Amino acid sequence: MYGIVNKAIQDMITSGFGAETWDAVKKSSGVDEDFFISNEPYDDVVTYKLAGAASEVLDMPVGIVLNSFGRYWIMKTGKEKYGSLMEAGGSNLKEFLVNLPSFHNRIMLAFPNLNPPEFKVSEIENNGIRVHYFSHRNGLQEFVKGLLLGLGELYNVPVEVVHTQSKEAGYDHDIFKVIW
Amino acid sequence: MQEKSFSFSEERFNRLFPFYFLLDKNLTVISLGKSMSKISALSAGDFFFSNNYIKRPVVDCETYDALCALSGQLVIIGSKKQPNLLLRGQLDQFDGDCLLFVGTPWFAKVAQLKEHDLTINDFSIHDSIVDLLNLVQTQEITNGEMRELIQKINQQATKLRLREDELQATTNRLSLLIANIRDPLLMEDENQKIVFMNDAFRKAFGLDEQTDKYFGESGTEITKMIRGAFEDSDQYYKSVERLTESNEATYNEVVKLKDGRVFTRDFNPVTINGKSKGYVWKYVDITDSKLQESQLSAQKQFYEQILNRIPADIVVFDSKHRYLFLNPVAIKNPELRKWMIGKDDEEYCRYRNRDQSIAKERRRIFNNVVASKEQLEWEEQLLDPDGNFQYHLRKMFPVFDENGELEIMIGYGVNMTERRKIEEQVRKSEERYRSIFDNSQALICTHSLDGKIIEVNKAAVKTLGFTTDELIGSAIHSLLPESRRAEFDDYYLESIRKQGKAEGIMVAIDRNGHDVYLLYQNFLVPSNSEEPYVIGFAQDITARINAEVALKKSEEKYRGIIENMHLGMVEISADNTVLYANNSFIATSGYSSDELTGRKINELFFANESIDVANGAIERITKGKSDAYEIQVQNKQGEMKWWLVSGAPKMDMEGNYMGSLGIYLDITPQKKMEIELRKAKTDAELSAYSKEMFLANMSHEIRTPMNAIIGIGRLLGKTELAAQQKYYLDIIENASGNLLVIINDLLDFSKIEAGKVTLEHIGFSIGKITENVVHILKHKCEEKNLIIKYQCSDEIEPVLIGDPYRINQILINLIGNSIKFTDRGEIKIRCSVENDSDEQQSVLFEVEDTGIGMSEEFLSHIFDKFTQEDEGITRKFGGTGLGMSISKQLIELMGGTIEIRSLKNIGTHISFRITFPVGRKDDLPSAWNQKPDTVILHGKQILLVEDNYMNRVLASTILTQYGANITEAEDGAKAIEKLRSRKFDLILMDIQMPIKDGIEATKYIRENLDKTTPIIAMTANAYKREEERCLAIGMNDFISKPFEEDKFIYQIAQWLGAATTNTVFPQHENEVDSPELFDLSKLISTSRGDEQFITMMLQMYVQEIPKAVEELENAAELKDFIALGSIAHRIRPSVLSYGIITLEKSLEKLERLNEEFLDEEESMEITRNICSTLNSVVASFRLILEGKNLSDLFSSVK
Repeated sequence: MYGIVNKAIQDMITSGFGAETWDAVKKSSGVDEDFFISNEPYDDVVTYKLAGAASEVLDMPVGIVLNSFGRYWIMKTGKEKYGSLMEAGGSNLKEFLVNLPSFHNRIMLAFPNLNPPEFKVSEIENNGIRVHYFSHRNGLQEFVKGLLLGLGELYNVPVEVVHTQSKEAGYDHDIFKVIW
Repeated sequence: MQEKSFSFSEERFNRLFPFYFLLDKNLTVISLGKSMSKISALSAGDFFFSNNYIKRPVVDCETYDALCALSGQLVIIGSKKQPNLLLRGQLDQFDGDCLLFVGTPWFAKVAQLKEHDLTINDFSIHDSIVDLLNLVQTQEITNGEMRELIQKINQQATKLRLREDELQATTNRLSLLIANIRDPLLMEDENQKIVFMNDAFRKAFGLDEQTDKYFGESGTEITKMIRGAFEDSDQYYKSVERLTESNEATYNEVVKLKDGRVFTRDFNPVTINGKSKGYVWKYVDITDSKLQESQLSAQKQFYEQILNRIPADIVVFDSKHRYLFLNPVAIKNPELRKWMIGKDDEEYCRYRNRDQSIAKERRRIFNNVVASKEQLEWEEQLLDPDGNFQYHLRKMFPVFDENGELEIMIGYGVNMTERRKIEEQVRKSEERYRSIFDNSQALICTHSLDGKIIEVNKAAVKTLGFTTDELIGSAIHSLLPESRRAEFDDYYLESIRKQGKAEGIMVAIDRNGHDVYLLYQNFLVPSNSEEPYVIGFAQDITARINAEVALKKSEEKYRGIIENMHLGMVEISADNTVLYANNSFIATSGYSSDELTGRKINELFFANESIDVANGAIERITKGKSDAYEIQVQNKQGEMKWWLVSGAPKMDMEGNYMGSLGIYLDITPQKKMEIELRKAKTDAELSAYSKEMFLANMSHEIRTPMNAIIGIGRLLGKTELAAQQKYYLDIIENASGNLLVIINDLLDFSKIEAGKVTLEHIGFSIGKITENVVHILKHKCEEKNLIIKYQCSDEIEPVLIGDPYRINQILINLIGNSIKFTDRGEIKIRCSVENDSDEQQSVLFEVEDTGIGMSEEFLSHIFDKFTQEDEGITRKFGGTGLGMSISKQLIELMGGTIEIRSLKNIGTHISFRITFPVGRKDDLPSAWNQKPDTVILHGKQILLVEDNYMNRVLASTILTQYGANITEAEDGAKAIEKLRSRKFDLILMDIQMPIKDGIEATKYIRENLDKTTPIIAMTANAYKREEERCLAIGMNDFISKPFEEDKFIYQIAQWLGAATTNTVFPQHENEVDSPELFDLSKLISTSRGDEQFITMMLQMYVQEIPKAVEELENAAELKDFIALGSIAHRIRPSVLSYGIITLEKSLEKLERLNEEFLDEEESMEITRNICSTLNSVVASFRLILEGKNLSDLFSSVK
């Protein structure tokens, strides 16, 4: 994953729990990096280690850490660093979600070494949409859920995200029903 | 391959190229893309250059051709109105006369998308401008991060440089420091090459060259160079080798030089990160300190020797309470003494396995001394190895330095165990004597020879009531009464001084001013060392003295009493000889004291019967029992006296009889009075019995003929009589009725007076009693045209327990009086509940009339017997004047109260309240509810036993009317004769008869002839006792003469076993079921088969009722409700006697019109119904009269 992800984890923990906690997470994870560069690719293992260590140090289930990180990613990283780009993604939540597949395809171009997940949408309704999530990575469903909840917050729309199909149950991808 | 030509619809073109302009030759905008229209200020028809200009490449003129020439080049179009909007694309000529610009906005920042209100959907998918912007954004972020990183690295590099400089400075400082150390110092690297040597080293061990000359030299070489300076050079060399090889830090090794100097040597191997980096050798010249040390040691030894010889524990502590010194007295064992140095008491106690409490206590004292800065002395108790306590007196002296800090603490201790032992013995001895002194019951005191108290014990303090402090020092003289003081000085003190002792009784005055008698024995105690003094022992004998005085007084007192009391008292010996007699006994007996003393008492007074009584009593007393008895005696003067004697035995300690003490009360006058009273009582009882017998006999004698008079009178009334005859008969009936009431009242009164009224305790219904009384008295009201109303509260329990007959009697009396004394208006009777509980109810009965009332004065005497307001009343209304008195007494017998309020000429209100227990339905006597059918009498054989001819005729006539066959007998004997020959269904038995009375006859019949045939007593004796006597000998029931015909018949029918019917009170509900217009059965029953009577009655109805109907109709028309009420009241009794019961309630309603509101329409409706029914009955009666076929009517009833 690109350094921007690890950097976001660092920012989230530092801003939420202080620099000491981040040091503890880093120490616990065994990751020996003082500085992450956003457009530099890092091994996925680094991200997983950081998420696991954060769960351990903060004494929270890793699912909650990932979910919180998803929301943080949208509300802080996305909004503050790519705010205009996010806004260009759609004038409302529905439009953004409809554009989500091509949005990620475009990112792939911007980050040539990135192996981004692929999104598809179906059952587009006035109050809901199904988001299909294809990824070679495992265990990031809660992160995706957090992202979708964060998008709701970004557009100031209360949303409910239901994980209707799971890769863990043997399917080839996950499905999230986003209802607003 | 076939060439494909492209053709786009505008929509598709827009989708592929949303940012385009299509211009004509005049450079007018023909059309523009949907996204272009969002950002461009131009619209179709506008001149292209009105807002745009070509930013690159530069064009000379803004013409169509000039623009065409730009085909094939990158064209950047700027906006005149939006300076930051650039379009990047290309121009191409189109169809020869149009120019197409296809491009995309060229934004430097993503934020510009928003400025132009563009989203990703406004761009064609192949357009990469947004992605480029994204890349730019990412790049910017990365650049920012890189800047941040570089800044961070720069900061760290700066910090690193600063630290390097600091390190260098520190190194320089350290080098300088080491070089200037006064002690010799040598440093080698890991290869034992010299890296540093200070000048002190060079000088100390005699090296010639400058120190830096030796840097880099081998350490071994240097050791060789300097070894010659040391006392034992070989040993020195070897020790250096040994230390280097061991590589272990070693300190304070002493090395001596040949010139006498002495050094200590520290060897320090230097290790960094676990690796050996060299060695540091440091020498300190201790030559001077060694010298001082040896001098100090000698001095110390000197002082220690002194301290060790002091025969006391001497110890010295440091400021932390650790031992610095202990002398051999404190700790004998030299090893232990040595061990103790540097240890504290806690460690010592642990070592010796002793309790820590001593260590704690010593530390506490130590701290106190330090805090107070003053020496302290205390005692310490220790257990020696043999288990004996050792006592030490210890002291601590603090020694402070010039700063006031504790320098040392000197401890000093002396063993004082032996001294303590002696002290303890003295203390115990003193304690023992003190205890004797304090706890002695005797008063102990010491005083000086001039009589001043030195010491007193508790007993003395307690007895005299003064405190010890008050007594000590005071003069004994002052504790004595004035009268005894001279004796004290002259006799007591003198005796002590001369004889060395004194004894006797001394009177002192206690704190409360009371005399205290003291039996004393005092001695002089001579002393060599101090002043001689007196010790005295005394006993408080005040109680004894007081008791003796009291006894004397008591003896005198009782002797006086006995001598002068009005009770005679005699003391006799075991053989009855008089030992002592007091004055009273002397007076009553007539003998003098000398005549009595020494004489036998039983011989002096008792004779005949009395002697047995006296001897019996004396015998009982001899056995030790006290006794009291009355006895008649003759005194010396020959007078007969009655004495009440109370004798008590005198026994000795072994319980032997020693004689007795007798108290004699002369009761002669009382005895006389008692005899007279007994006689009077017997006389009174005889008199009362005679009165009762007289009344019973009178009652019987009057009732017997009365039964005949009333009964025959009634029978006569049923026959056809002339008007004059009827009049006379009414007078007879009235007079006999009044006479009966008078007799009953007299009887009741006499029973009450004699206390012989017995009350029933049976279940009854107040509602029914009231209704019955009203029913009985109703006709009297009707005669006087009075309205009688009664109201019984629903709250009254259906069954209460009490005497219904007496309630009935009281109500009849009170209501009867009201009727008697009321000429117009109404009588109201109300029964209500005053107090209610589950167990009982208090019922208030009220009788109110609008009669003549009573004066206030008479009211106060109303309950007096034989009282009537005035003679006029008696004359006018008759009566005995007993009714109210009887009623009141009966009410009070039932636990109730009665009240009367009355106003002359206004009316009277009488109320009484009685509390009854609540009963159950099965408490009701069966006869109360039911009345038998009299048809059963028909054909029954009844034996009538009655000596009075008239009464026989009466009973016989009545019973015959009911179809019974009567056999008469004049007395009990004749009855028995008749019973021998035949059987009867029932026997009516008079009680008082000649030859054989009813009681005897019944006894005989029940015992010999017939045990089952019902026998009903008939007696004029109305006493309950008589009834009980009859039932006890086997009779079945009791009829009191004179009897009511109905009651007489029903009682007989009941015993004949008739089926019962509810007939006591009208049961209208049952009658409602009968739809018949009228019912003549009552009338026919009354007529006893007299058809003429019936005809007359029917004719009367046919004549009179139509008039009444007319009156009703007139009153209704005039809406005269008062008239309606009074007509209804008038006709109701006769209407009911014809059995027109359907009208009963309607007529009642009309009657109440003047007191109850009824709506006009309802009143009219009721009146119409009444008139209609009455007319129908008239029509029916006319038919009957016309047909004259009354026999059907009779048979239908039978």
